Amino acid sequence: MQSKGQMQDSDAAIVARTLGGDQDAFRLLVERYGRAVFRLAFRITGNESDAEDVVQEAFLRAYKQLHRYESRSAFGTWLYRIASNYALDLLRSRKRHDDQELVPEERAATDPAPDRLVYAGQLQERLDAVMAELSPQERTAFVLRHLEGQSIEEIGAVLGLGVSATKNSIFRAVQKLRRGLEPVVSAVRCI
Amino acid sequence: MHLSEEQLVFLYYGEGEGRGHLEQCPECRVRFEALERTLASVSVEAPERGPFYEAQLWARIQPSLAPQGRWWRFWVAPPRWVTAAAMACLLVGAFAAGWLLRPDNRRPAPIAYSSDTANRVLAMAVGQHLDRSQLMLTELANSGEDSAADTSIAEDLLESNRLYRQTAEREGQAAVAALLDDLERVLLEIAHEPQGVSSERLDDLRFEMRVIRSKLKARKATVTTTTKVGEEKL
Repeated sequence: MQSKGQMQDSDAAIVARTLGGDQDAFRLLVERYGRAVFRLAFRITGNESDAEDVVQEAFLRAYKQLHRYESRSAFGTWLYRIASNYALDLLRSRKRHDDQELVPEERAATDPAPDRLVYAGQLQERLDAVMAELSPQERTAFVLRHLEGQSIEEIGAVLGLGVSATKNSIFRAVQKLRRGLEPVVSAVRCI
Repeated sequence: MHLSEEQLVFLYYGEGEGRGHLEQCPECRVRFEALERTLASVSVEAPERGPFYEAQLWARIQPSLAPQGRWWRFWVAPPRWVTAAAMACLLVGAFAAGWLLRPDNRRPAPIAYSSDTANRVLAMAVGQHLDRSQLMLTELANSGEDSAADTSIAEDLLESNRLYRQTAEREGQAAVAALLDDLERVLLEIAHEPQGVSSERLDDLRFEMRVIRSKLKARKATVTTTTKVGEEKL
């Protein structure tokens, strides 16, 4: 009997079949990574429809650039990098378009009344607000480090930054999150 | 000396030095635990996708996948001599058709086409033109060092775009003409940008294209509805 690993084609084999003209083989990669790319895209963009846009574009870009993929690295890592790059570009582009409409109600929530803090939902609400205030670069760096567990070097490759500048982006994001979340976290802890 | 904020943050992520100090210094440990509590509360859950997500995603992606290789560029932007030959064939064909359909040839009069038919033909041609432009923009986004080749495609598309825009203006289709005018500016920018267009600008342009395409779709839907209503009235 074949093991699951034997039954499933490796990513490298599927890439080779796709490059050989078997377009349907690419479908296996879409099925294998679609949900994970969506999760990543949503975490970076914070928006469902933008995340869908990122997923679609990431696969299209990966398909177009497939001849550049080197099977030394994992296909998933390569694909996530493409998706993160596009998500970052999208965030930057949205930021330029939306700069005039910077959510005043989010800023008004800087000092919420302590009695509101007892609700767990408040933490999420506050987190969303603080995440929205991060710059695209800070948000992407933080998501990739904190939620996706990527290394500083991998994040630097997505952002086009060196180690020190990448660390700086993560640190700035953490500082902002701490400022925004610590009052809520402390209050919830006191309940 | 105590650990800096930055050192604490990267210790949390398992990087950097200072673990030894942390074990011995109660003050730094308190600060580290506060940081841990805050960062542990940060999680972003993505909404669940439905059971057929993969199939739906593939259905969205598959139509845009060109065969691997670049021969399809010929279809997207055929060389000028092919375009010229096709135009010449069209002219000869139109002349022959005109001669054969002369009234004094005692053939039945050609069927007069309605303005709706003309509109549909134009909308179809413009739709295909937009598809080719969209494909070119996607290719440009992914081409990197090949952007010069895409620039020449943009020049070809620009020529077609001008023709379609002028036809739309002649046919009194102001909305389509306006859409093509928007696109012309986009194509002009790509065709005349010798160093290539920045990825940020390209994203803006593609965004603009999506808006143009959705406007055209909305317009097509309106034309179809109007035609249906007209047919019902008849």
